[in-house]
Amino acid sequence: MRHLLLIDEAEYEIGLVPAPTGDGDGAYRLLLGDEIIPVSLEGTVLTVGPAREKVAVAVDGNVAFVHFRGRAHRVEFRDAIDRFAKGAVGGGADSIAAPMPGSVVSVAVSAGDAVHAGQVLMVIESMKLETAIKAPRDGVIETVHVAPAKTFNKGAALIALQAAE
Amino acid sequence: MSHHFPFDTVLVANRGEIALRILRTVKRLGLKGALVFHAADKGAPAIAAADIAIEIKGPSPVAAFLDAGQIVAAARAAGAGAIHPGYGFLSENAGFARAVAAAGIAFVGPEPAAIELMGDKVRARKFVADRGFPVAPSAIEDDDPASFVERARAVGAPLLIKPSAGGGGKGMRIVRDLAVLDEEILRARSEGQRYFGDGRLYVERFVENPRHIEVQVMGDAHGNVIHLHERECSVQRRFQKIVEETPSPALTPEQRKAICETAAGIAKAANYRNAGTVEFIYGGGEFYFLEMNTRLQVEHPVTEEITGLDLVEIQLRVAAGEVLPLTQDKVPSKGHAIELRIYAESPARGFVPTTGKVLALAWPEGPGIRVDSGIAAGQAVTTAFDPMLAKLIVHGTDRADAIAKARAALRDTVLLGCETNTGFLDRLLADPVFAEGEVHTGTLDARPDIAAEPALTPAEVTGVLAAAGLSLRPTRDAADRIPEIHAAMGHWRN
Amino acid sequence: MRLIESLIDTTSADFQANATHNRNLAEGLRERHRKARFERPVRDLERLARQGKMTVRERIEALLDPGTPFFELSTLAANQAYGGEVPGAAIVTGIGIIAGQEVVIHADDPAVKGGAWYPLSVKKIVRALDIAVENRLPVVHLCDSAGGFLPLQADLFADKYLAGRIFRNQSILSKLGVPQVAIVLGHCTAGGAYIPALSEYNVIVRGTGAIFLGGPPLVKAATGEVVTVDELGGCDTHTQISGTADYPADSERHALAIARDIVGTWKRAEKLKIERIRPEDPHYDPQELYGIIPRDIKVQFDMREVIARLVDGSRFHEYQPAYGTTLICGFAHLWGMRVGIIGNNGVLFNDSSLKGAHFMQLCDQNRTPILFLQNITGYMVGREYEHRGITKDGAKMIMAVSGLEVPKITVIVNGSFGAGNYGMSGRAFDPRFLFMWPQSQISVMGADQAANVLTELKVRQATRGGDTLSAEAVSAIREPILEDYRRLSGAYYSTSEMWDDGILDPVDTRNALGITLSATLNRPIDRPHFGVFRM
Repeated sequence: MRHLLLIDEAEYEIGLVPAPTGDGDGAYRLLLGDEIIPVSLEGTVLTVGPAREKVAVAVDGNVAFVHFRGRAHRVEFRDAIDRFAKGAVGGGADSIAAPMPGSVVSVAVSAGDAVHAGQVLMVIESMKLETAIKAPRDGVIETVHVAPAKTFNKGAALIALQAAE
Repeated sequence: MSHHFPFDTVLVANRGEIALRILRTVKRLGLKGALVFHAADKGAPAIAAADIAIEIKGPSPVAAFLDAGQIVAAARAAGAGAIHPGYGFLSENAGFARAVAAAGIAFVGPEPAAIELMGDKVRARKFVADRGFPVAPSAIEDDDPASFVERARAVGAPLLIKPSAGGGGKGMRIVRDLAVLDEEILRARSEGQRYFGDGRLYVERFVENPRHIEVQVMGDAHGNVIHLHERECSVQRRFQKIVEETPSPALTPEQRKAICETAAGIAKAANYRNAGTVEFIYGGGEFYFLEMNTRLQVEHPVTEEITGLDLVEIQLRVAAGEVLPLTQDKVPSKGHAIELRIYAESPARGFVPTTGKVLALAWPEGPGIRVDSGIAAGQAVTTAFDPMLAKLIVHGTDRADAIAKARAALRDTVLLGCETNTGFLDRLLADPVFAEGEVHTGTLDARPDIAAEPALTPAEVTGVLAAAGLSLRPTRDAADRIPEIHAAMGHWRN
Repeated sequence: MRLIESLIDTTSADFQANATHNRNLAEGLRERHRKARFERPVRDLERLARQGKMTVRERIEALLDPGTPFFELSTLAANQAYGGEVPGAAIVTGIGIIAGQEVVIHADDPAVKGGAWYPLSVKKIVRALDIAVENRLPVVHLCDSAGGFLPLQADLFADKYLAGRIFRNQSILSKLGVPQVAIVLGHCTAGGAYIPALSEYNVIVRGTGAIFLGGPPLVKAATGEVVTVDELGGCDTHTQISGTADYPADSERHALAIARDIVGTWKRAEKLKIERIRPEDPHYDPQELYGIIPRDIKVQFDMREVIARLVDGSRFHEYQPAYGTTLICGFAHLWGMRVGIIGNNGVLFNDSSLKGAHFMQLCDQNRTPILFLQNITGYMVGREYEHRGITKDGAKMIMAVSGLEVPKITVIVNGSFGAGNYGMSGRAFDPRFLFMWPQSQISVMGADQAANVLTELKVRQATRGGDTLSAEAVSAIREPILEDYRRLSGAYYSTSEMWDDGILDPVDTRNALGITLSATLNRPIDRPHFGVFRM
């Protein structure tokens, strides 16, 4: 089973095996598609096939940030178990997640309220701009997870609707 | 030159890159630098650079920097004889300037009266128009609140709704279709109330494809006022500046002279003291007064690059009561300078703010490259403050040289752990519309393709995957566990 | 170790003719492998697709570490049984790398008769688990079987080494501290339910996986109870209520990912310490093996030429080069691991038998695994040799090979006839692995010889009344006997009956030996000690 890596949002499946000891220390082979590519990384020097290039890498948990050829990329390792489990990352239409990091300006609803699609549920602020969060469908509010002045990160659950019939 | 300053310690009431930048000049002049900081900025380089660092608190980090009482108290505790407010926060708050003066501390900025005059956009506009300087058609709510909406409608589309007490682009809205005018007025009022505690508005005719050109002015307490040339700030998105440069590629030498002298004239008419910037809207050969910012601006470094002057030093000297160090005829303009604002945002995803931890940081270096940065490796980037992380300023012999230098510097900038707009800035500088100096304030909105992230080439994909695969523990460990013989055989099947 | 000097002429007509012959055989093997592995009735593949199931080999490939070898065993089991309708005996076994671990894989093939267990299927599973036990290799089971093939139950149930042995072996593996994980991808019914139950870890797929001693029809017949598959023994029942299953999975890929994660937690066995150096490819081209093996099994060839194309750098240290020259003994490296090699270069005489027994003791003493390369028609017969004790000397070889503690691997390169098979570590002598080459033959004596004896018998019966038979008549009796004998002594029959662990393309032998030799090193071995050698 190949590893799933996401460069920003694009998915790639790779394999990585050590190269035979004759190839030198720290040498590996990258398996990508049908290709077998000799690679190695020593400090800030990345060797891919015959080419040696500058690179900068910083790792945080399952995320590697790579600076290569003048651009920065975020590469996430997605564990195979998480990848294939149902009901993975994202949340259904019953949970409304923050589209960007910011803070809450005002909340217009509370648990138990019936709402219609498009109704403004709350107003958030980010980057000096206010955005209205609207209901994605008709429904009933199950839980409001935040309150005015609360800050949140991208993807944080803001409001939960009761499961649709 | 070392003149005697009447104070030995300057408190910087700000954070991020500007705090560090001001402290640098303060220390270079042999003065002690004091800094107020919020716990959210743990690890910021400005804190380490300060001789005295005093923690301030608030219901939010921003609120702490708006707490005049705490700041003045901190200045006293640090024995500071002067307070530099930086930009934003309380820098254009006349009440704060008064409180500082009342505490017997020098305010490194203009007189409270000038702040008040120029802070009230309506008053400022009237002041400038009355003295014969050019302004754009408008409707001011205060003149007659009852008829405001009607008069606003009469200004005609396209128009700009602005909060009277606003500045720095907050709360402004363009209206092209008068059908939505009422809703937009309501929204603008709400934001004005929230940010400035003042929901009054004024409406101004919007110049289509306008260029935003501003002029740096400096006055002393002895009636001397000079300009330090213009800056072009038309590369904007939702009224936020992204790239600034000087000289402006839009102006002929004659136009340059006219606009700069107009600015100096306005400053002199206002008896302006210390640093300020007069902003104009330029289009079709005409320019109108927009507003005057009574503070040191974010993009001041480009002016410093072409003039060779340290504006913060001049500010401190003016605050110390000195005469301006040079006359108008002695103000140089050498070469071309460009400033790029590096933001924690994702241009490809609608410029949403990004967060993260600065895991690796390496700034470009070399002649003509200056980085004003407020972050250090290990710092957390959060939404507690403004997402601007640093300014990259390049100085070249001419515009093309400056652009080439800037592009190389952007590509050499290593900032890992939080997505930034450096890629977008590089694509912007590469675009013909920028190379030809044709950018106006609406350009970026009309060119969403620049923000789009170009696809990686296969070679880039391979390189990035290799670097990541070899660095991430799960992939590296999995490879290292494979027994030698089996790794050597590879994918063999009998 | 010295580079073997090759004395064959690769341009000679004989060499070319051999090469053509053997390449054809290798091509034939590859084609039969392909068919056995991939040709399935369309309706069976469609059924799998409808059920949302992957094929057995898709499952295995998803389970394995990318960029690593998978060595499949006994691909052609049952190729001459059950009308040829049960390729591979509906089971796939092999050695692969999962999360860096060497493991034995046992996988039911649901596209072959629903994965039903025929007698040879049971034999194949037992063999895989015997390999696991003998080599202390962890096991991954991919369970998806319709259960025992009822019409042939008499041949798969009651005896010692039949179905029950599967579960006994599983229990012994656990007793030895060797982990197993079972992935329930289909029904595990009756006996089959014990595979996940006896595995220390198991994963079950929701919707398609089920474990029960009796399915719904049997339950209804037995007690009248009506119950669905899922309620009786599905994923949630066993992971939430009964605790029979450990990890629920939403899909097959999810289950395989979980299994990989489980294998990743297992401790790596400590390898037996043997001499190792950096691997080196043979100096001579392994493709030349095709030209070395004669077209006619009665023609002799120099086994050194085979060794030269198997071992690292073609370097070999020959032991007692001047004595017992019909048996070659020596040391070499295979994929860096030092091995002792014992190979036939003719009939076994007194001296070669003694040399063999002696060399085996030597290898046991210095902890060197042994590779047996068989091409043996038997021991020398005759008065001189009997007087010199050839029977005793053969017995000494057998005593030695039976008592060896170091791992043994046997490759039947050409012929394996009679007692020669024994002394050279045939199946009964517990080599950890035993392989055949496509042209090899194995029987109590050579085909011609045996046909002569049997024909003689038949002729005598036919001529009891004093008749004589014409040459054609004799031939007509002899030919079918010969043909049948050849079939029953051929590699394909042997592998069908699972007398071996698979037929190897000669050029694949080096990799096969590297993988299997590495696999044998996962358990400690006792000090050298033997029974009594009749001196």
